[in-house]
Amino acid sequence: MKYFTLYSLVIMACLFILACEDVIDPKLEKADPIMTVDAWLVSKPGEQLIQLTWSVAYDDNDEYPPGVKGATVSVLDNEGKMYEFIEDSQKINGTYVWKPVGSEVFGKIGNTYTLTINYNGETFSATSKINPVPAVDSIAFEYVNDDPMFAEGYRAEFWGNDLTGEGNTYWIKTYKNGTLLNKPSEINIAYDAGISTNTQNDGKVFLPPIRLAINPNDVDDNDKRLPAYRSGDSVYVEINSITLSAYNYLNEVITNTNRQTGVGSLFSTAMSNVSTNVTNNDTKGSPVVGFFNTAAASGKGKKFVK
Amino acid sequence: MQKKQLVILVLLFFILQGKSYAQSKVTLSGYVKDKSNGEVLIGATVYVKEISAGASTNVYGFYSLTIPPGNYTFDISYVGYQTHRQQLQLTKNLQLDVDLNSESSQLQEIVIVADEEHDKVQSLEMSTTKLDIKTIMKMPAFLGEADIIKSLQMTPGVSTVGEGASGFNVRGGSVGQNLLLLDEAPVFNSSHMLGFFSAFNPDAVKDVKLYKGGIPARYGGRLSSLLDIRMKEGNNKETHVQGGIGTVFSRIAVESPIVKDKGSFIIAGRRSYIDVLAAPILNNFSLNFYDLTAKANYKLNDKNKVYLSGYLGRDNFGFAKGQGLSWGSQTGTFRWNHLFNQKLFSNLSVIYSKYDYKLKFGDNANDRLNWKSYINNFIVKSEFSYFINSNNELNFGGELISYTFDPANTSGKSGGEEFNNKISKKYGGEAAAFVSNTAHISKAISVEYGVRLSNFRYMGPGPAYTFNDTIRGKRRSVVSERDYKRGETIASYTNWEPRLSMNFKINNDEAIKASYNRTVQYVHLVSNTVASNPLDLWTPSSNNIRPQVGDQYALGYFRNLSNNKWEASVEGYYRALDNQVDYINGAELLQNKYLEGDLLSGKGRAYGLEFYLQRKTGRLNGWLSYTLSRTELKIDGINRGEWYPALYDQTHNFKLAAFYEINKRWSVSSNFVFTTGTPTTTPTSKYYVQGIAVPHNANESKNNYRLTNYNRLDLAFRLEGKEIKRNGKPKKRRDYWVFSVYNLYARRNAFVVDFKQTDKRFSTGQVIETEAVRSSILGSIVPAISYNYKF
Repeated sequence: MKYFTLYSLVIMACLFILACEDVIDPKLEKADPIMTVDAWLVSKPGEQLIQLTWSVAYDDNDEYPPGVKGATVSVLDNEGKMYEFIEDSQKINGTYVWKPVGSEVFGKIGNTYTLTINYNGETFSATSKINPVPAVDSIAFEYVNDDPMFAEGYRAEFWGNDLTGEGNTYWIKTYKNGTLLNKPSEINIAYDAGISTNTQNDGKVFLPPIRLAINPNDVDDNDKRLPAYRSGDSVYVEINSITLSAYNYLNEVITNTNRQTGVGSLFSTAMSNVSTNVTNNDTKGSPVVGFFNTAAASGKGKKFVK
Repeated sequence: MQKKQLVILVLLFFILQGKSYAQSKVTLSGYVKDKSNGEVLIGATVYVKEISAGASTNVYGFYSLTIPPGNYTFDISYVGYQTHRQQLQLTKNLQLDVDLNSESSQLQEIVIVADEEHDKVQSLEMSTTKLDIKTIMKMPAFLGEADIIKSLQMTPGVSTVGEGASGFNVRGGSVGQNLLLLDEAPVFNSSHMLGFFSAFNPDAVKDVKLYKGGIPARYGGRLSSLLDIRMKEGNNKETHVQGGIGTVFSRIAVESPIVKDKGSFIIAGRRSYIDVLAAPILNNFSLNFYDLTAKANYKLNDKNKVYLSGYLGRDNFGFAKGQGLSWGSQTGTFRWNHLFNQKLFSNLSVIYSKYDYKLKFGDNANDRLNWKSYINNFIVKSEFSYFINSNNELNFGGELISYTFDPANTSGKSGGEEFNNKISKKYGGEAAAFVSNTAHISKAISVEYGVRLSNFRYMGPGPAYTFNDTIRGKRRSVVSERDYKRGETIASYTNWEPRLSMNFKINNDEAIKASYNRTVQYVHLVSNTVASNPLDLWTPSSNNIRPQVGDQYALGYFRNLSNNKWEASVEGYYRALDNQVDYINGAELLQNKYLEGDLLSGKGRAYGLEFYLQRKTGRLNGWLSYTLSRTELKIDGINRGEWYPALYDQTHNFKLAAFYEINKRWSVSSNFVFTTGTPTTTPTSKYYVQGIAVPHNANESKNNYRLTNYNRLDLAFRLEGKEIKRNGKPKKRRDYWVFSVYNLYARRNAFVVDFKQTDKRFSTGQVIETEAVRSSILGSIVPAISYNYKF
């Protein structure tokens, strides 16, 4: 759905030139910082990071969220294997690291994982599972000049099939020239091969809005869309199998961060709080936000040469 | 409790009617029409001076008056028409049809605006607004296009969340709580081009009446209001063409007799032409809408008359070759008026109504998607009016409605593979019976009391789900599913809806009125966007969604000043609402078969004071309206479970509409609107997850912030075409120009404020910049010219 409204909104915005936008400085309610858990672990070689930070005032554009210091962080799987995450002050604020020993790799498909954080006498926990992941079969580049969603030039499209079985959920991450495309409008998630729960696209080829959402949303200084890929650019597509609740969570993140302004706001909803799967064992204790997910990964890269 | 209510009502009917049975009486009945075109006049009055008794015509122009035999003077009158006086020696039942002459054209310019049944002091109704089509045509309008719904928004108690938002809000009700009837057919979406224009063509409309309260028992099905739009019947004397050429669209209407004085028809159409004009720059985009309104009537004999009316409207918005969004409504109404005798009038209506939308994506043979959704209605309604005597009019009847909901039906191809996803259709049946009596108890007191008994059945075929309720305010998950057979009842609700209106006349110029009504709504408009939009779904009450119930109490003081030149009123209302729908955070409303698991239910309350002052005559006329109100909801899981302002809560709502006749050819009109800003939710904080700054309100507040006040001034000049040709003969064609300016001082009224990241790309470890962006839908002055003609 989101892609669809996006389609229509972009065009609407062009047509209704009467609409306008202004950046304003509203007075906001004050609130205490809340602990944020950013734990998206991927079963692939290398170290795994969990970041614990404090939320900052919404209108604060100067400070990087301060790290939560002195917490003990661990992840336990259902086979009893424990992964200890150690605070690393060399890295950005609040980063806790698990370092593999030898050829060790985090996680195993089919296992469930429990995150436990102890901080200041309180215990926070969350659970997740590693689901299987389908392969990225191929990536293709195509020249377009009449698609309202793309600038004239080359765009990329990946091909792959959803795994059989209803309700697989994926996050398709794209790296262009090694940089993760992480704008809110670039979050690309799939439910089976489709873009919505409750539709039956089990085991099929990913639908076009997913296949094509591996192109960056970049504009020039005049807000004109830039061609997605030029000769010499490389693209790497990584599918992460995420849990259903992570899929729902990312959907909420998209709703609340990928905002349509101008005439597009006729279709927008007011902001609402995004849910979390992390809970304080003491229900009356300090609040917590963020998410814990464990994923398996598959990927493929391609360099574009005209 | 419910049985008791019924007993009391039955008793009331007998007590109040009993006193006038004994005498022998005679009945005068007939139709009141416009002499020039044969259109029946709704709400014209027939008044007997000698005994101060009277009757008014119903929506079909029929009146019936039963009085003792005698020699009387009858005054038949209607706003804007010359009063017809007739002496009659009434010894037996008599039929008297009256054709009224409209007042001369000069006088007609001093039109009475936003009036209601002649005189608000005399009539029993309160909380109603009747807008004259001539007034609507004169008001400054967006892009110069006269608009029924936008004009209504200039009256007390009616508001909107902003430009481009479809529909309207009445006394703290949501857009989906208004019943819009176009010749009795419910219209589910009243907008063209999102909400910039309304779906009704003013050329084809005769009468517009909004009930904000005191809704008569014969109407039901929505909580907040009833907008009763009656189409013109068409001139049954001679053929006429009228129309207009505007900035956005053109209109044309043709009306003509079928058989002179017996039957006539009207066909009116509109089409926008932005897409035609802008085709070269639009490439493959298209944006257009059209609507067609048609009606025919035929008088079979003195006792039987039939009507057939229909509406077809569609918006097409294509954003690439073969891809786009389109939506529209279709309605059809067949009516049969039958006069059993002079005292018993009946009408049978058979109605069909449908709203649907379609989305198409992908023009590639291997990758494409079609998505359709609709709601339709099939209605049979029978109504009887029994004019017992000059003091009592009994209305009774019944209604059967069948509903079909098709929430989403998608099909297409992906990578050459076909797919087909359907969410099961939902079915509902509504049945209602009603009875009410309008009684003039004494010279000073009149009462309309009645009751509506309604039942709704949510039925098969199809699955019904049972949800658990783990955490309040969070998505509920399905615990069981059961498949029902065709016609099998899944859930059923029955409600009594008592209705009561009273008028206590203090003297000829002052009255106090009170009303109470309960309304029940069985179908719900599901929308969590700021403005209602074409993709919003209707969904029935079910085993998971209870019907919405509203109770409204209103009290008003009405007064005429300086010999009826001025009219003033103050009304207060209090509404208590049950089973109001809201949504969980992150609710998925489209393409979700478990939609009900994402809905929350709670209470609502709305109260307010409406002040109204109108100058009815003179070269300068117009009105002033001020509403002070509050609308709140209380829903578990939202705003810490405390009361919070609804999206359409407006503390202050001030409106001024003024009309001034400069000279015989030029006139000017102006609107001014000031309202409190729409409430919205703001974040307190933000946190980073996977390189994205997520806004968060740590206090769990909802609608805690007000957008800046809305205010706007519009101006329109109207130039009447010359009435006389150069050779001195009168012109057959009458025409006028309208020059209008919308948003004269180009204010950027806030529609929403969005909290978002700036459009930069932020790398890991970098501060993510966020901003608050205020969007205005119409941020500048909008001038327009239109040319209108009639011949």
